Amino acid sequence: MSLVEQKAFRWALVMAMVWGVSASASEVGSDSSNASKPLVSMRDKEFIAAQFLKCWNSVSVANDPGSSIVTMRVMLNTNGSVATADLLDDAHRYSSDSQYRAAADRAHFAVNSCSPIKLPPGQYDALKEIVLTFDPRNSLR
Amino acid sequence: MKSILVKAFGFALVAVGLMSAPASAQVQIDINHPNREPMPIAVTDLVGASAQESQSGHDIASVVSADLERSGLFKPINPKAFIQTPESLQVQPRFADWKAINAQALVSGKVELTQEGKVRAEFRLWDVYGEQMLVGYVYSLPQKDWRRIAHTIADAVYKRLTGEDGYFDTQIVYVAESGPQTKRIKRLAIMDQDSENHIFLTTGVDLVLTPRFSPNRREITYMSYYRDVPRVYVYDLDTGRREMLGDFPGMTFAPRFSPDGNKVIMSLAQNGTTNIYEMDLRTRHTTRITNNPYIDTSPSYSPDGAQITFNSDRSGNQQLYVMNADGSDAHRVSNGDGRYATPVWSPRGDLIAFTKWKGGEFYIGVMRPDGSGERLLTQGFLVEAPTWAPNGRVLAFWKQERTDSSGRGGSTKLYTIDLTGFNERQMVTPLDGSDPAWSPLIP
Repeated sequence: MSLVEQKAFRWALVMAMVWGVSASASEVGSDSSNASKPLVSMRDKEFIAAQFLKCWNSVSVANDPGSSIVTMRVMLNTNGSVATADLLDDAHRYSSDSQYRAAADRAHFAVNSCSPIKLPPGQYDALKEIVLTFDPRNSLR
Repeated sequence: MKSILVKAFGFALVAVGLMSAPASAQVQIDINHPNREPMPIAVTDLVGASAQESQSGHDIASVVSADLERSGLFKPINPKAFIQTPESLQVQPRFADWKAINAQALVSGKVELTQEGKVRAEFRLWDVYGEQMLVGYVYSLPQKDWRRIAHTIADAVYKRLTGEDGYFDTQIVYVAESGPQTKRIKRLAIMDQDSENHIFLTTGVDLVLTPRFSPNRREITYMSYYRDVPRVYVYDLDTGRREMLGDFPGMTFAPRFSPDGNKVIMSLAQNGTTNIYEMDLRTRHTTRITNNPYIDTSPSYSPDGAQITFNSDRSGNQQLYVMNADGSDAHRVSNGDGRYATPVWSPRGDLIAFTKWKGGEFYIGVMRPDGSGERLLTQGFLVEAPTWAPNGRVLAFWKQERTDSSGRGGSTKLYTIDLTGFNERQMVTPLDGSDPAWSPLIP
């Protein structure tokens, strides 16, 4: 990395920190009850993602796996068990697109078979509602 | 400067992602690393009322299980681990018992051998963690076709769990090879896709190459030698009769049926050039499709019959081309390094499979019909001649090993690979095998 790029990188990091803080401050401002809630670190996200990944079989042989991306809202109980798991994508696709339906079912398999997941200590409030995106695009050679 | 700003902005985005998400919002978590572990599935014996039916139910379940395992996408669980019996499954699955052995999906069913000589199989596919039935069907076929019942069940399971059509109720025709490399005997042979029901169709007196199924699966066109000259033939699987297509002054080879089965397209080598011809099987009228001084060969129709892909050396070395079915608007579609050959249009129309030679290695790959999106799925000392499964998501091809310094080795085997490029399997054949062609689904 050149000297100029190093400066740009440091500037970007500073901007990111300002951005991150201001973004959360803005949302916290809209709901004072959330003011004391902790942020969710990338490590915590990866901790959660790794657990679901173990249960997810990306068995797609579709030529365009990008068409089989599934987004799901998951509500967790305090013990890490899955309370609800709802698809956030166009509901019509489940009945009309067999590839999407199979991908959505595999996402459901993953969420349900992983339940309960382990939560990072003290992070239940931050993680009780998560949006999981199951993206099989990297499954092709 | 622009690139620095772009990089800086990129760093900012990454850094924001790394920092945190606001606590009050839904936390977004991406699961985008591929998990290529096959899906654990429990395939239970189909329940029968008599010992004979129970054996039939066991045999059917074994074939279903083997089909799914061979796809590389499923991991059938050892039946010894099952807690609930197939008999009690007929009342209702105890999902907790199947969760306990980590089954994500469950196949159950029953079988009956009828007085009319048929096998009637009823199966259900269950979502263990969703605790619901996903599909259920009843199939009935003559008892001698019990393996087809199993393949049809496997096709239904595969379709429901992958979203893609199945391909298990199909056959493979290929060239069975034996004898020393210098005096190879090559026979036409046919078998089910799981290598069962293997039959030799020709004796090996005449060398055969490039067999291809007709769309109705009852005829095979191939190249063989007649008085030491290559000729294209059609073999009728029902009668065993073979017929030479035309009596041309040059060599004919690389035949393939049109999607409607009414025509055969092939190459004719004559006076140092090779062009593509089409023969109407009803009238035996022949039409010349290409007309130039180059080598145009390996033609393959698009599934709608409107276009043809082929390889040609017209640009200096072998490349892939697409033209209209009447020969107009021929344009090159392969753009990578190396040479390309044996293009085959996917039955779904979305891809063309090909053989590529580059840097001393052979590859099997796919690209879109406009040449974009090239992906190489497998490579080897010699890999060649891809053929599509009817679902357009799995390919068969053949592979030859290197010979060692003493001249040993060099055996040829058939393989399958799916579009992920990760699930490569060798097909079992009694002898060496080459030039596979995958049949359409059996009606």
